Amino acid sequence: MGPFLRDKYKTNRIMFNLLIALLPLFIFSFSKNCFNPYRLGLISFIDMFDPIINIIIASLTSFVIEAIYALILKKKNYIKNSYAFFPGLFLALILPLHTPIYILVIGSAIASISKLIFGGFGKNLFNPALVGYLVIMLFFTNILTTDNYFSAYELDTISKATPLTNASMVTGIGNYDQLIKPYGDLSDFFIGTIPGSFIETSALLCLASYLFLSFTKTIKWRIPLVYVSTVFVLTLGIGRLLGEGIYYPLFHILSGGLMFGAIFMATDPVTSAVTPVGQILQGILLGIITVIFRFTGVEGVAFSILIVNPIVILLDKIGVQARFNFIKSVIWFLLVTIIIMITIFVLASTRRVKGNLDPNFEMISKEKINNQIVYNVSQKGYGGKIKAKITFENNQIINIEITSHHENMKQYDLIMEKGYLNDLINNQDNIESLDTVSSATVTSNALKKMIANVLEYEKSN
Amino acid sequence: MKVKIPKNKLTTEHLIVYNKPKKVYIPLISGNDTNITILVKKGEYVYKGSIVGKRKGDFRIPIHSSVSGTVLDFEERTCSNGTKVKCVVIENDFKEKIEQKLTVKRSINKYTKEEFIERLMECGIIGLGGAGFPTYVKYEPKNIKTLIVNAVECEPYITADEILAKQKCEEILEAIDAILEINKIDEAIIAIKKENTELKQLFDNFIGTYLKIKIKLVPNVYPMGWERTLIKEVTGKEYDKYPIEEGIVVNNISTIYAIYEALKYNKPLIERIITFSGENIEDKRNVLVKIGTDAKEVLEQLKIKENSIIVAGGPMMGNKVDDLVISANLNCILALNNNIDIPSICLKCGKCVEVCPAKLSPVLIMKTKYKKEKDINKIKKLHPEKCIECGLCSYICPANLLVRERVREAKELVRRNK
Repeated sequence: MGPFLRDKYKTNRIMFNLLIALLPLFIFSFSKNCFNPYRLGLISFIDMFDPIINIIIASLTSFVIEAIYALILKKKNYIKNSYAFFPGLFLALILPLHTPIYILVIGSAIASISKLIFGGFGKNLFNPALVGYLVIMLFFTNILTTDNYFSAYELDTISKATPLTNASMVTGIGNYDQLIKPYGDLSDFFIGTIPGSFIETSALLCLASYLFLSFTKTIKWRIPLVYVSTVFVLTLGIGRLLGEGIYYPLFHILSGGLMFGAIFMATDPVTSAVTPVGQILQGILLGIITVIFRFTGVEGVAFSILIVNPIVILLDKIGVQARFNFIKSVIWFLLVTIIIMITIFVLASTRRVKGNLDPNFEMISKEKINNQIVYNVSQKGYGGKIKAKITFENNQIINIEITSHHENMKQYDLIMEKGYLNDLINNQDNIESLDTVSSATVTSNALKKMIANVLEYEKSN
Repeated sequence: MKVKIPKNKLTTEHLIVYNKPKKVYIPLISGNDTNITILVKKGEYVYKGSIVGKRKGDFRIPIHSSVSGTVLDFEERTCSNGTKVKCVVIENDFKEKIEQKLTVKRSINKYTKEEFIERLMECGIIGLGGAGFPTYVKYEPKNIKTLIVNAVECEPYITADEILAKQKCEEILEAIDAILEINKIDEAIIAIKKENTELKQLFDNFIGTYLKIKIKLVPNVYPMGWERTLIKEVTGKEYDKYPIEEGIVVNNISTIYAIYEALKYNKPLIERIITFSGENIEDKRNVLVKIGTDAKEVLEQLKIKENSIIVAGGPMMGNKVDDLVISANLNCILALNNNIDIPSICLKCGKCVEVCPAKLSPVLIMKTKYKKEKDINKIKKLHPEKCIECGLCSYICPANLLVRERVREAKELVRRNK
């Protein structure tokens, strides 16, 4: 059967190109997260190779799972054509730097199993690596904390969480000082010297990979382009509406896993649209869902892609008809899209910050541990920032722990002796009427204000 | 997206003639229609150019003998579309005797439209580019505005049209001019590939006096020679079913030359130029052969290697055949290595969708399973009937899947369930 002439571009080359495109990103991440901290003496030589070991273990786990599957079903040739190590590889790359190995193994196994349930390579409905990611996010919440995302160097130099976790904690939509400044400036976001998952931080290298993968016809180039553009347009609109500058949409497209996810995960051939129009619609839908996720405080690239995965079949149906009758086939999709976008703008405009927040107060991080919420905050005191860890349970403060301060020791000790921290906890429902400690007014007042601010923050969220 | 594919134009310039077959097997097929009335009996003597059969139904186009000699038998032989077709076996007496001639006009411009159409029909002129559609039918409408002469020959390997155009450049221009005058057509556009500068140069040399004939260069992509693509490229026009809706007629360059011979010498369609190529033929050439010649005879003369696979037609649209007799709409015979690309798994890369010139989504057609009545409606929505079987989807498929074959099956299914 013909044709008797075939293009030399085979599946192997697609997969090979993907690995090539990952290489610069990997080298950058390795130098940022591993080599640099080692050079500065923050981690040992052996520790430097942790991410590489992670990647190998995750890839192997996936491979072994598929090999067992092939053995059981006696499909001898299956493993040759299934690119079995990819789910684990990608999972290891998008997880935090210090993910414990057992979680990685569980995640990779689930990723591969999610692929095999549908019948293996080419048949899966959901992106395997992202299924693994989702399961880890849902069942191992407390492992994916700030500390695990940060390299040893970043732990020392940056007092915030990852940019998007930080963005989810600010009141309103945040401002330049809250979103960008803690990490440097926009060029740090672009180059990638910001904290985040192992591979995702460098937008610059992601763009380079995108160009490479598009020109070598490896990926469906329309999806990342439309996806990132949609996020840009939406956040630009929201930013404008609330009086923020061009930095605002840039912050959104440069932070989190958007670029990497759009280029490497949303274009996974098996789970993305095959028709050109289907791919464009997929990009639009992904962009909208990601923006919605971000404004509900979750980094939603992975979840957006997983949500859109099964919808792709419908988008392709539109895509098929669009090749014959463009307007008629896409009109409904576009109308619904416009309505959703307007709704987003309307909802976003309600996020306008009311009143002024205490400029001396700073929210450093917020973590959920079981049923407790732990805030790391700081408040300007007499001698500089007082940092504290404040624990909430059932919307009530149950513990206050001062982690660092530069106050006058005599006055600080006086406050501690009087049990002022307990007074603060006991009077939290009526904090304004609580008296300050005489002879230590400035410091105790700072603590009182800190608690008032935290309570205000907790109430508004 | 239009696709550049390897050209593999390997043949030498020199045309050879193979006109001494011992027997010819005149296939009783017109286009893909085998519904032919047989007009000769076993043992009957036929002249070169005698009518041996006539198509039934709407297009009563005759089929001629390419030699003079005795009808030996009727035999089933494989034809260019890969199916067995009933053939009239005629033993060649090498006398090349011709029946009494019809009158020819002194100038080929002097035919009336009616005479022109009648002559094309009598001479059995059909489209020589592949589909084999009767040419006279295309000229029956009165409102023809543009004649597009297709000299694109976009499939790899094939150079049959090119060599003919180079040798018969003046005759072809003369024929185009006559067609324009007889049918009162405003203009003719000869479509030539951009890379084929030599051919363009040649036409440029002679075109001076023909004010209504223009040359248009078209991109070197496949399938540029497909009617729909060509018309879009040349005139920017799109049509629903037939080009005549836009007042356009498209003829292949070798069809134009066949028209020339019909008008000038009253010569029926009994021979044509065929490209013999492929890595397993030592002497890659264009050969002028009689219709009904057994391809094997020519292949042996050109030194075909053992264990070759034989392809009737170009590498993209051709069919693999075991034996083959030459029919009028065949333009190429290839002898290729028998290397099979092992199919792997579809990864939904969407490349077949990107390349499909008929705007189909082959991967989705391939993935649709059709077992129940309901599924047929599902597949109808994907319009497989629009497939032109150009083979680009299979060509581009990184998993080596037989995409075109699956689409063709769906196409058949839809045709049956209309």
